[in-house]
Amino acid sequence: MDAASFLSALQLADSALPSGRFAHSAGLEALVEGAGAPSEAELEEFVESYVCGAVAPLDGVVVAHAARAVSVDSLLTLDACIDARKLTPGTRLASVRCGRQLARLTADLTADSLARDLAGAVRTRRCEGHLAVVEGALARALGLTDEEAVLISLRGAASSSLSAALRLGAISAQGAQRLLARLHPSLARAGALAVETALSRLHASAPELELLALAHPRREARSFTT
Amino acid sequence: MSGLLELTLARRGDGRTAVVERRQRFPLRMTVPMYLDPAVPDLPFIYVQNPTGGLFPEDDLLVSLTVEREARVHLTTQSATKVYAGPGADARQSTCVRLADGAYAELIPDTLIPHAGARVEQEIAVELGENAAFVACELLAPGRHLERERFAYERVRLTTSVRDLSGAEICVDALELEPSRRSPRARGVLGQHAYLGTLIAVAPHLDVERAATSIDRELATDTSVVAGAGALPKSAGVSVRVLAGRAADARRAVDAAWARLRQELLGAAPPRRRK
Repeated sequence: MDAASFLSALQLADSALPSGRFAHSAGLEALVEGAGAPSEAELEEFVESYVCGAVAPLDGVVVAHAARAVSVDSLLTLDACIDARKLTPGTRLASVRCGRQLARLTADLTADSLARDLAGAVRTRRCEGHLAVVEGALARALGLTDEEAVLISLRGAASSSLSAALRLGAISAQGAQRLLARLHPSLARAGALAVETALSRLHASAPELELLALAHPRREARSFTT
Repeated sequence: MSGLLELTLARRGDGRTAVVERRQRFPLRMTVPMYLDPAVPDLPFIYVQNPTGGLFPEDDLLVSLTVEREARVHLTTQSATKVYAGPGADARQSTCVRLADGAYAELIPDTLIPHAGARVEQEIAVELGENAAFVACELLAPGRHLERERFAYERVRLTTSVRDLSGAEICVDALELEPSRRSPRARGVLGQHAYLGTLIAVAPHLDVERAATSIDRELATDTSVVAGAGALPKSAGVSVRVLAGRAADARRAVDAAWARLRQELLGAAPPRRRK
């Protein structure tokens, strides 16, 4: 990775990137408000299940394929593919809102024509604009490999869910960093697997988290959008 | 072993749906279609039978239904499906359903019980014609109850995919559990729960938000399960997920969701289960 790509990777992974990721709790708000703050060990399990069980085998794989795509049609096909597989309203909403936000930033980050064409397709609603597709296309445009793109995406999912846990009072800032560091080996394994996975093997396998996410909209007072 | 049960169902002049074509290859066979629902008397109940007692490594079993215009069918199993361990390729069980205009199918099998060491892929693939509707459910056990098996299987992959006539995907539910890679007991996966139930219903005229809300409300009264319902992509239908500690609780919750949807789609709750 050269210096320019490394700096691009840092920018994409930066929590200050306004993709809207931190408005979504991935079911953690329902967990914390329903059952009280989990222990650090339980929280680690939840976040690992979320990132490695739900995000990596679906969004992660799509990021990898998007990072390898060479046409807008391929990217639109990926967008339709992931849309059909996000079965719950909250996961679809989070993915599309963040993807559309990131697409709006594309022209400021790259002059790459494929990435900009995708952003145009998102803007004109030729596709839903799922985050994984936009992330993958943008990462390629910025000179990153498919694996780097996937790792940025998975790390983003982990850090945004830990940020939610922090804001919900379920963990301290230092605890969140400790937990994130402990998750690095799992994220690396999940990322390596996602890069090799065919679209025919996509899956999302965290039913307990899915049910927490389904419970979220029923709550009257919410800190997070989903 | 590669088994096949291939059926074509059509609506007859008297309004009843009947099997008009059948091909079968051991070990799959079927009962005579039975008309068990007095509230929906035209709808045949077909029980798929497998005399070998379950799924074995290298098995590749296919049930293929073509449901013609305005025809309706209920497909189920005679009993739970046990999946046995052994050397060789993963056991595969597929159900392919093609629904013509206005057709309806409900796929309500018994529980899938993967034994210790088992590897299985189960796939339901539905092609929906215009105004067609379907409901499918799955119940997954953690293992053999009497042997106290809990997640001793090697791998289970469950996929339900629904496409329209052009081949475009409407929704795909794919779940893969491989305990050696990540324990199903992990929080966020199944947590403290042992049984997983899933129901997917795709129907063009269903008030999806109302159906999901009413299922949610009903399941919230059952404190023995954790369950929820939500709208599928493009509001094509409803998905329901259930987690429970006991098989009977998971079954009851899935049946309750099915009953709500059936009332909306056919105007009648399911008849009493005959097993």
